[in-house]
Amino acid sequence: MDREHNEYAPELPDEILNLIVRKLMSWVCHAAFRSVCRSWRSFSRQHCSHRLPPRPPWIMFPCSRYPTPPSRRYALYSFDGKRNFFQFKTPNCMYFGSSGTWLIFIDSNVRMIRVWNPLSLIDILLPYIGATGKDVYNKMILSCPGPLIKNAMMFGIIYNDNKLAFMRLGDNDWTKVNFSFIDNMLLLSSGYFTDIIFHGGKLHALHKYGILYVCEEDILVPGGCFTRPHRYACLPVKLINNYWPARKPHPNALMYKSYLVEVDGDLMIALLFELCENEVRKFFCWVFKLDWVEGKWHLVKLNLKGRSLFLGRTDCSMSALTSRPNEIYYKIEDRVDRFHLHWYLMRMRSGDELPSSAVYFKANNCHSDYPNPLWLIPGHT
Amino acid sequence: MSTKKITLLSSDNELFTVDEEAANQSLTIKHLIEDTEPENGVPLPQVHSKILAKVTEYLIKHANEPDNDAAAKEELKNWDDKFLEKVNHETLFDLILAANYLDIKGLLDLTCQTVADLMNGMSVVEVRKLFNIVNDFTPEDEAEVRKRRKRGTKTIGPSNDQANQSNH
Repeated sequence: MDREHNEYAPELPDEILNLIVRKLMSWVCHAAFRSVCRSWRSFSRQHCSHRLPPRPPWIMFPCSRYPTPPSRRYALYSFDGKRNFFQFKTPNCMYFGSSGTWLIFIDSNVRMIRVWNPLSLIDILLPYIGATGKDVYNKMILSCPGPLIKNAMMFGIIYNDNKLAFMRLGDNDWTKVNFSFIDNMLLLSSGYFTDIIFHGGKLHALHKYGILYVCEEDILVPGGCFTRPHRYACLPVKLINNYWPARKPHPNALMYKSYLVEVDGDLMIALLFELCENEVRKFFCWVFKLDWVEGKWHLVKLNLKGRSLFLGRTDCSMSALTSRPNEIYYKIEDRVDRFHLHWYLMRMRSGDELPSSAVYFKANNCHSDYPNPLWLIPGHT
Repeated sequence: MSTKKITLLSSDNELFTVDEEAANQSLTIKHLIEDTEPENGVPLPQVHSKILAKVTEYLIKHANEPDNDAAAKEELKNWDDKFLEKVNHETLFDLILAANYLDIKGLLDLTCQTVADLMNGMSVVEVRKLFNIVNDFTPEDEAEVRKRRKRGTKTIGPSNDQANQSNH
């Protein structure tokens, strides 16, 4: 086809323009699209704001090595290599995770979970979950990690290693996800969830055997009102698939952790494998994309649509555009003694057969009571 | 098995005959047949015969979509790729409009994908040429964009206009 001047081009209606824009591969194309003319620019503002590239998160860790009293002073590194110190007036308690721009605290004084935004200083209090008071919170996530509270904000949590619950802003209590009526054997033997994510407004949870569960509410009030005096009923939980790789990148490699991450609207799983040889630790990462139609995971080679993955443990995994595309950032710890450990932020290229991980950043002698360094988005994604 | 034939009438009064099954892929044609039961062909005054020929070619090929046959799927995909290979831009845009008007999801998807593929790797100037759009940004607009871009790299935390954008 000729690329010369096109004498004839009809004015395309908005819905067609929208269809075409959705199919544009890279953000560079979007940038070109927006620069074409005024009407396309305003169109892009209205319809494609969600398609803007997410910014890479900053990594945050406390400056003090000692867990008490909280120093309230944190260092934030951005990916342009600048080090920014922030003095937050945080709530007087320990945080254990983050989700987007939000930090999540356990406030033992008032026996509440605090969701706190260091930018807007908005503070959300949620009830404790679990019965014993010694419950372990593994990971908590927010459905919309931006700086604004929306009516439909939801929270998902893994606690006590194997239990799952979620809550809508305005609910009185957590809605526990009841797995008892499916897969009894599998879950009772070693119930364990490794990661959760909100994808398309639904809570997805990854079992350590690689089964992805989608939690769907059967009674859900559409619109703004979520204040319900009673708990939701048990959730029907759908078994999506149980395809898990029998293969490993190296026969002696062990699964280090699995992460759920959304890449440009696609749900993906990143598997991190660790190989210990001659006291040298090597890491491999495989990324799988979910094919919803076939219910199978497909291995993604190299192409993460130019995005880089930021894998999080108690913080959300995310994808963003950086100056170096298709890279994977992950955090590993190295224990020094009973109370201290080093944290490493590592970087590798995706899809390499023999990955060459490089230390991107190191945090020395962190107190082991501290959570791992957290991803924090400085603005809205 | 009896297959009912449907006659389609283009804007320049040319007739095209296809099986009913093929024609039903277009929801517009399907509804027209159901509602009006036309005798002398379904009138499609918005579609020229040149375009309608292409559309019927697509409809006939896609009349029996394979469900589980991977090889047949592959073949159909290759055919799709070839189908639009030799089409010029003018026809491509007409095909999009026709697919939209006739409500043929597959064809609309295919044509939009082709345009998106074309746009991948094009510069702004090339995109403007492709869509025959005149650059209507004023120098003030461009200065504004440049200024914002510069500011964006320096600000820490959300700038005001981003906070506003996420508001709606």
